[in-house]
Amino acid sequence: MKIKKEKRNDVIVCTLAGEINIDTVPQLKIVFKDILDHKSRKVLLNFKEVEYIDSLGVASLIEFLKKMKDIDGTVFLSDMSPKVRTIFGIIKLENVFKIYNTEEEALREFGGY
Amino acid sequence: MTFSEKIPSRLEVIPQFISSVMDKLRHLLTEKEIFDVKLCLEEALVNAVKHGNKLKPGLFVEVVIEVDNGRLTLKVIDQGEGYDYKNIPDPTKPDNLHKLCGRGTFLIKKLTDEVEFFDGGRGIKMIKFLSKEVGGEDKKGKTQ
Repeated sequence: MKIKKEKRNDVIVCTLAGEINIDTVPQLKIVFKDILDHKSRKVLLNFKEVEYIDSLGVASLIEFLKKMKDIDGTVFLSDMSPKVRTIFGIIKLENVFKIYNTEEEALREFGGY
Repeated sequence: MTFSEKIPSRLEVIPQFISSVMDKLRHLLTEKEIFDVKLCLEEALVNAVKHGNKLKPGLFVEVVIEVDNGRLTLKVIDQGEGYDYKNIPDPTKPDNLHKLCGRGTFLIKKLTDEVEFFDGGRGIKMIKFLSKEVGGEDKKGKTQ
């Protein structure tokens, strides 16, 4: 899995690529810990190149969102493929995360521009 | 086609095992079926290794895969104490939406055509009806 992290104004944008699964969740958790340690409060996870996510991957995102909320932060998601979006729809994660169609759309609302 | 394998109760062996299984099945599946089958197999294996066998060394998980008449059957059998499959909480209920676990079996039920538990929940049988004919055409005549 590849994770590219960059700052756009006060928003941390993480562009994720590959699979979010039992194998790669530990790698993702290291990035999340780093973001939490730096007290960044706005995080956008761009899923453009995420091909697959399992329930452990989903759990890591929810755990991250909870920890972000503890520091008055938030996590937005964008650019999901139809397959990944279907999984989020089945388990109703659209009621947990705010999901945007594109990074630009998310950043406009989120303050990254 | 039928094949079966046993894996030890270690989470780290699951990705490589799934990869080898999917290499054998890929030519029979559409892109969407590859995604669904891979996810269901992974969720069942994680449940079997973690919750069934409780990661105990010496216990194994058996996987039996059969493809016959356009139907893919995946059986995952652990050696644990069983699973209360009749009382699985719905992870989409508002009270459960933020929980960190409990989505695996729900996803399996949504992404397969039939699911059956057996042997007190030590085994799960998942059936997926395949849309692709062997040779690369789906049943509507489109190449996937």
